[in-house]
Amino acid sequence: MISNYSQVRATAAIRIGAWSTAGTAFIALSGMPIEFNKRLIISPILSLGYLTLLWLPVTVGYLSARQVAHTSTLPNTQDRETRNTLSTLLEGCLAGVFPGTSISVLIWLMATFDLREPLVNWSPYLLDFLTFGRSTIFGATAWCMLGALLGSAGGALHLAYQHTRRTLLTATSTVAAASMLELFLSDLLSGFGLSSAIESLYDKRGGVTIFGACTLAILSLLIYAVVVNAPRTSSYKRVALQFKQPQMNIASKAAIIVCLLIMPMLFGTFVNEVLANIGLFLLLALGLNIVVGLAGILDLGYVAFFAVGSYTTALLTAASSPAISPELPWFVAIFPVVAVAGIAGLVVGAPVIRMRGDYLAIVTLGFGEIIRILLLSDQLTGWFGGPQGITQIKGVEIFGLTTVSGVDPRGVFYLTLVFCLLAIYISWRLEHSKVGRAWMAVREDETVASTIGVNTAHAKLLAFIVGAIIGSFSGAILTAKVGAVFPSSFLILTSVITLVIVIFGGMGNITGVIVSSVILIGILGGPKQPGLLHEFSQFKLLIYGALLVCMMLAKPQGLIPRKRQSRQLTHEEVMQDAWIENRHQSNAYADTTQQYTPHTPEPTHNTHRAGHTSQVNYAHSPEPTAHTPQTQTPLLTTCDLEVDFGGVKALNDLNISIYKGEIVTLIGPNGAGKTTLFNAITSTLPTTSGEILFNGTSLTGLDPERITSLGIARTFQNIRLFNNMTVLENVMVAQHCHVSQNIFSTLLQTPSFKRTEKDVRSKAEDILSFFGSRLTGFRFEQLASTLSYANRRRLEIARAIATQPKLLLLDEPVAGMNPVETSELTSLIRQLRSEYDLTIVVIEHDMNVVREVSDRVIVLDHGHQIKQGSYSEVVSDPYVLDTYLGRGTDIRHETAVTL
Amino acid sequence: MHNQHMSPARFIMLLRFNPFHHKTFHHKTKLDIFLVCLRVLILTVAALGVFCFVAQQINPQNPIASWINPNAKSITGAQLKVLAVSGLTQGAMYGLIALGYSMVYGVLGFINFAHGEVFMVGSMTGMIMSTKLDETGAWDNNFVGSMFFIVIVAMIVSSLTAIVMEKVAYRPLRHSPRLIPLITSIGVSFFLQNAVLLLFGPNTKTYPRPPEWIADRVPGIGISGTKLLVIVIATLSMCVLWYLVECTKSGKAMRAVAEDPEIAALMGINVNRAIQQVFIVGGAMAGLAGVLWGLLFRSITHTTGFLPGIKAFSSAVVGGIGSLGGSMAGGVTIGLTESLGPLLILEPLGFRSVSQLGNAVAFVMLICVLLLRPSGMFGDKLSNDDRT
Repeated sequence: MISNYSQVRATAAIRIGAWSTAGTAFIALSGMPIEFNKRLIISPILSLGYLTLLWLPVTVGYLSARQVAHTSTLPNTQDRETRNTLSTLLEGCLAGVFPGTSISVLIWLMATFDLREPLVNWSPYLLDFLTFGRSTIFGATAWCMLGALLGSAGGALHLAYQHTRRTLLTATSTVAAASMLELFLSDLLSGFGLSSAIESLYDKRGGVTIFGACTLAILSLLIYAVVVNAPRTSSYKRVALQFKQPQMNIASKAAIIVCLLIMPMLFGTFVNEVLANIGLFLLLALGLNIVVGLAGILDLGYVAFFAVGSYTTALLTAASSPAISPELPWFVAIFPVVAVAGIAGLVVGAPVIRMRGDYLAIVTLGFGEIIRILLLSDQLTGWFGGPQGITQIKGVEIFGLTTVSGVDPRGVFYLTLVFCLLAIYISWRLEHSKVGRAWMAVREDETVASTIGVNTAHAKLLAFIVGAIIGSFSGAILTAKVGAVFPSSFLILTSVITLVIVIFGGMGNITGVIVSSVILIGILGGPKQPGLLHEFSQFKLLIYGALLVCMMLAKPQGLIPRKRQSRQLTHEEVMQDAWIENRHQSNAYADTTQQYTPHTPEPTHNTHRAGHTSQVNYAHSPEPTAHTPQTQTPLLTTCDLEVDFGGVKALNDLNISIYKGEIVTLIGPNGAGKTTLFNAITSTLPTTSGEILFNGTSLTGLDPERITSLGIARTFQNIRLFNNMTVLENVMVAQHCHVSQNIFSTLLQTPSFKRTEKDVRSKAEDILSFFGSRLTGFRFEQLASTLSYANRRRLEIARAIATQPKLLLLDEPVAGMNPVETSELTSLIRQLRSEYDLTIVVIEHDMNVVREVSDRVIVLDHGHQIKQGSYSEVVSDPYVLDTYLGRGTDIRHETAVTL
Repeated sequence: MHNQHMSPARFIMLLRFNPFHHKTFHHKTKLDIFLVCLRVLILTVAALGVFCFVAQQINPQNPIASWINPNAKSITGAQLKVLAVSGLTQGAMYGLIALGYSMVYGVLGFINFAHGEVFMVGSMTGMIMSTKLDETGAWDNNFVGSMFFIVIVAMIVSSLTAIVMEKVAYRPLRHSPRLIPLITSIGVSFFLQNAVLLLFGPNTKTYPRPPEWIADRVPGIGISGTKLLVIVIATLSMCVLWYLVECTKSGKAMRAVAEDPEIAALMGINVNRAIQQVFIVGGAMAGLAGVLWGLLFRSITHTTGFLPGIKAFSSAVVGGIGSLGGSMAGGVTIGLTESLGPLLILEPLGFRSVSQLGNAVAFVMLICVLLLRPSGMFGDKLSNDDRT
């Protein structure tokens, strides 16, 4: 047992170690250590070069210790603790030896063979670096021992208390960050006039002094201690607080703006240049965030809009532009630029929006390349100047007071600041409006989005256009900043880096995008723009690539997710459920479950069939609606409806009529065409022939969203909610076709917009409160994916009702629910009818539900209607018994009892 | 059983009888009209170009030829042949790369954007091996033998790259929405490209010149031996692959997994292994294409994989994704379009320096196929799940 266990641990350590071997060799040969060796972390002792190799054994040791702890199978014995301590250290050591040995072997290989021909970094410099400037033997032994030592240190790190670990981590990362951001910090400190602090903190050769490192470590620990020990709100309160929308007051907004305005004054030219670049990429990222994050369209050719903005500005403002040179002032030119970008968005978007997501990605990539090829080509040199581009472009003049040109990055910073704020405002306003909700719905599920009334093509095109306009701002500023445009500025690389920014920050989250563009562009820099760490310039693309992969694997929702995901919610869920329970106890009638449970008919008790059935039928609906089909005009009629799946006729000459105000149940065996009928009515499937009339209007050939706006809503057999939208948003988006907001009223926040927005929200809350307290309160702001199964079914019904239908199609509403939930929903269906004046068609297999709910039952088989009538008529029909209900012993018993 | 009486709705329907009604599914929106116009425009430009080309071949001075392009001149058959052969060779290589895209798409349902880099890695390996062999003299003395050796090594290295890629980056994402692995593969592509850049440096690498006897024109056919070699090897490996996929047990497993991984697993197929095999085969084909590419064009860099990769994906789509023959046919189509398209369509229409526009024409071709016939020339072989 024990030996088996040690074997497991050793294998895990060896596996992790083996992976790290290749990684270490790659890092050593990629040239990182040599390049980074120039930068000192702690002045004479440690350079970034050695740090890039030394962190590997520690991490590997820590990871292997953690991996084993996770898969630990050792029974909980008394001496487990002590044995664990020793063996954890040992396996950390074992894992750490791998990267160490890898370098030792590399040293030996480098001393023996000359492979400089293909491998550019196979140089004496590297050998010298790796052997610490001493003999080969010394180097090789030293690395082996270092690996073992650091590996055990990693193992020990895992054993240490969480606090100790965090403290160490905080201190180390503070020192590392301080030394790496030396340029930025010393600029900042001298901006505040604290040059004496710089001298004591930083060494003249670069890097933090030992004194500085100690000071920083202590300082960071103090701050950490304060933060950790800060008085905390009780967890109960915190839950309630978390669901409140974070509101920033005007004072803090003003403070942020003032900070941003003074910032450039504090820094020198280089940091200001970096700030301007951050602004440029933030604009691009905000634009792409609308396209990718909100509307879910993976546009890899986003750089095209950047190019369009840039070149249009150049053409309109430059004196020397080849074709036309109206020499407009920049602030006048921006208006035609926006128009051109919008048209470009339309032209690029229109052909591709019907394509599938991944094809669309490649085609937009193609568009990005085509634009670059065209800009480079001789054919259009007359317009765009070919590879030489357009040069000598005037900068920006603001009211004739300040002139911005390439030499003054401060001016560019203010310009980007203005446009970034504008872009943030636009994306924020649009996100919280009809348009933004429609985008998210399209992102989550296009089919469902169209069945709740969203015109998906329009929504996607609008996303393309808005994205293009925001991207063109960035292009226009780039032109003003550089004073020239070249085709080589618009590589696919730019699109990909913008995509990394959006994904790293969190798709669809403005704050995330801002934070990640500050971090990534600020530190690493753009494709051609330098970041604060200029040592990284060679390696930044590698890092971007690795970052993209790591984010997708570890945290696909990004650094700052838009809404919290399900796993983080489990604790809160428990608390909320307890809260709801409490409320129920104090408020007995709120619990519908208890109220209806006693009435749930048990088949075995129903001895007086007719009497009891009618009692159950009308128990909860005050006015029984007995319809005589012939006296009314039908609400929905199908005429010889046929749906053909390449030979299989799912619906075959179907003629049914649904009358206003009745609840009709569709029953029939699997494959009878019940769901197909729903799909045909809502135009999710094309009909082969025949016609569907709704209120006298033919539905044939109408788009799903049009049918929804006529007043037909449906739910799906397998629940299809917008999982990454909140409960409230799910219902709000469903009111799409009844909300009159246009993009301008949204942006200008007109009173009518505010009114409609308030209406939409209160109506959504109203509808959700129909289901008791299950979907209200806390749940409003929860993601739909975090709900329980029954709540998801309820939410789907709520969403369908929010489209304000006349006819509601419910596809197996109680499938998968437990008996209590089933009986509750059954009575709810009747309540729905009276509350919202609905006509309801239900597909259901549960005959108890069918009996209770239906005014009329229609039996389908092989796409035909084989019987229709009241429940008792239908279940006694011999043909229905043959085809669907069956004549098995159990069923006969039940029919005998119920009839 | 049928409800045969004349209901009011049925009567109304009879009155509104329209013979074309049931054929239309959606009303024509503005978008549809735009798309139709776009299709018509592209086809008209293509047809016009070809028409003018024919006119200028008959007589460069005739009014139709000089109508759009006043300096029209006819091109000789030899010129055309050279272009066609180079298009064919390039297309054969696109086809080989496209197999990897197509097979991965068929099985996992996402575009492995990094497949172009696998091709580049193969090409780099070939470069390193051939330079080393050239130093020892084996390249000139025993070209066939060393070529065989290089191809095998390149195939192995490329396959290994593909395996590691699948294991590290794609396997954990097997059940996520299809755009997630696509984005991941973009990251992988970036990473591989820059890893090669850092390891081997930024400058252009050259393959050693192939020996005289192979580089010369083959008597009788009049095309260079290298190109012939590329076409022959591509065809041969295509046949081998076809046999592998259609006639072996593991091929059957791959096809079953492509159809439905869950059911395949229930039938006792090791899904992970089948998927790994798909990556191995795709990687090997890309590695082979990489060596052939180096042999033909002789100079490669770390970015060599990008454009051929995208064009190869286009080939897979053009041929119908998931079908092997389709990939090859699509590759040849894209190759020919790229080399002949500018001369056949754009030059007669008066475009200048049309050779610059080859890539643009290839992309337009991809867009056209996706607009006109998204399932490709031979129809895609995808499960219903993937198609929606």
